[in-house]
Amino acid sequence: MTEAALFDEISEQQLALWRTTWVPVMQQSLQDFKKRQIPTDEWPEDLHWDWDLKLKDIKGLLAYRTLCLVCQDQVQGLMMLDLTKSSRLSSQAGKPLVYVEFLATAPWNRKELTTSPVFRGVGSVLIYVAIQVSLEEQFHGRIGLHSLPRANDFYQNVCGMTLVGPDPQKQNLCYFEMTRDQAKRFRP
Amino acid sequence: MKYSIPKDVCIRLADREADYSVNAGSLECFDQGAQQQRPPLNVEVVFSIAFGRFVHLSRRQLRLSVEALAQKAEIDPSEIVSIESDPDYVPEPSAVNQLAKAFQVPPKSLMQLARLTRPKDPKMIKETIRFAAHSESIAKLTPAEREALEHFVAVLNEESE
Repeated sequence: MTEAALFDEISEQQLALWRTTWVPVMQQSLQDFKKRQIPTDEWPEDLHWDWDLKLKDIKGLLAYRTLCLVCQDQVQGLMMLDLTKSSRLSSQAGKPLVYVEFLATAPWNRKELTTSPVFRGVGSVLIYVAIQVSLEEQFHGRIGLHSLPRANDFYQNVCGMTLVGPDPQKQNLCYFEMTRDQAKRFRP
Repeated sequence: MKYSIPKDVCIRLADREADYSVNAGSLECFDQGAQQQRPPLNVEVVFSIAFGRFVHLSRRQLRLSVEALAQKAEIDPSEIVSIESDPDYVPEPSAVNQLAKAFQVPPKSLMQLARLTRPKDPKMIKETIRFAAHSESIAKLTPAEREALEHFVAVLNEESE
């Protein structure tokens, strides 16, 4: 067990760490995939994500929150939340929720990129915090997100979220929601 | 650092997560949001003024004092005073949500008006400028103001569809 720190804003310093640590690993992975002629649909699904651009895009907008999980002086996970969305589930339709706009774990924590991931639980800790933010906003733990295809199992089976369905507005990614009861069950 | 999670919770979360992929977001090569242009500064100012006037006129239309609206929307009266009178004030998303509920307009549209999200529809921008120009605050709600307010409510409702 290693001490981790969770910051409620992605700072310039943490963004610089992302740039100098995550990006080279992802680029190296890309070269390896190309060299081994791995089909593109097996490449990391967030290969193209640019957190620099993501943060610039929401600068000054209070409706968004960013969070950063740091451990052993390295950025282990990043998350962006949007507080303006509402539920699509019929049981709680129209009620406000915390929408997880982006969530990513560092490349060295992923089984798809390394045979021995350094840390487990980064995604779960970030979801735990998204629920926490939802509770603070008086959204009763409700959260929603679009899962990248390889993470569908995690959100459905590990997080216990409800699959609302594929979303044609968002590259047919599966849209999941967590109700207040599911949020209570998620928190161990 | 704001959030702390007990160690035992972290251990249980990590055990449960095992080696699952966890990423959520978008598959697009370039996120649409990143390519959207921020509206020019003067549009932001207009939105801010329009939001303050919208809250002010809607409150008067409902014949509510600041305190009464604060009670109805379950927000602090100072929040309403700031929204109505300070164009530089940016409200909390939860307050805008509560006001949307009190005025029965879509939260999504009101979030745009409050500059918490970026307006995407040129019609919304045009109508907001029009509303700001036609809704000068005076003591009593005139028929013209009422018309301007009702027209704008219809636009806000349309925007969320």
